Amino acid sequence: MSKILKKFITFYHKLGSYPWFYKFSGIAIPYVAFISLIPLFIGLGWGIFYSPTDYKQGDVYRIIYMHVPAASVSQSIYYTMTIAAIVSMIWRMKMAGIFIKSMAPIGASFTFLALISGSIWGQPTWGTWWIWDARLTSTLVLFIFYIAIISLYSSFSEKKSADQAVSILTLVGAVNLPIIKKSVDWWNTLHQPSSIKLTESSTISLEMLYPLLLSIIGFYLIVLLSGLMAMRAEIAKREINKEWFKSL
Amino acid sequence: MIYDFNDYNFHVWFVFFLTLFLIGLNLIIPKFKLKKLKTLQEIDKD
Repeated sequence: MSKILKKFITFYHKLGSYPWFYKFSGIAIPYVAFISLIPLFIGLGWGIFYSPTDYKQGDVYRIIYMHVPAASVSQSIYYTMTIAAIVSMIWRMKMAGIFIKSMAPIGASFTFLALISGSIWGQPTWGTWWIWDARLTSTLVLFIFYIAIISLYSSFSEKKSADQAVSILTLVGAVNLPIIKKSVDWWNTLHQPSSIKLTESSTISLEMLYPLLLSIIGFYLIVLLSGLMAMRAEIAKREINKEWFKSL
Repeated sequence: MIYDFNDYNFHVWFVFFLTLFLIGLNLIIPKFKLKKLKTLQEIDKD
């Protein structure tokens, strides 16, 4: 066990090195691309074409195969950014700043997808495109935080100051995360409570659940792939004049 | 199974294509940025 822990700590420390991460991500990207596309396309294909039609909603429920994974990754990305912000604030690790800068646009795009797909799904099922429901509003706040982080970063010319400023803003936005999660329990919302539960049995049919789980896995792997690519590009941007990058 | 664009199926297809577009965008933008930087580096070397 201690050997595994030691290896993990060594790996974690190596992640802080720009040249090491640049080389590592270059090797990892093709493999991650291959393994991410398989569950994504099987999950979406299975869900859209082969899973049974819902007896109440008909085929429109199939938006679930895009909406739920997008909503899940949009929150998870912010959780990881919060950890990176803490690391950046305490240890001043430069890679944490790169992580936040690279992940914010990815998080914003998936939050946008969750909001738009939810709205499109809401129109035929709830009879409205939008309602100021606690879940919807807190997700909109998450989207605004992502946009604010992107905007704040671009307003700085000095990267070190930008990293510190966005770390503080990321930590402020983290307050919203438990609100999103618990909004359906704390308030009487139009948005339904979670159908997939880790501790209890899910309230969704298994024929619909399996493609949904595959789709969720696919989305998480796509986020990993996009993150690796975005961080690699950001490292190249910051280190373009450094000797190690020139020697590549 | 849905294969047509009738009724609310259009909603599903719209979200599906939007998903693919956004995933594609997240993958293409960093690739393009890196390519641009590498080109700049090549010019600098020359």
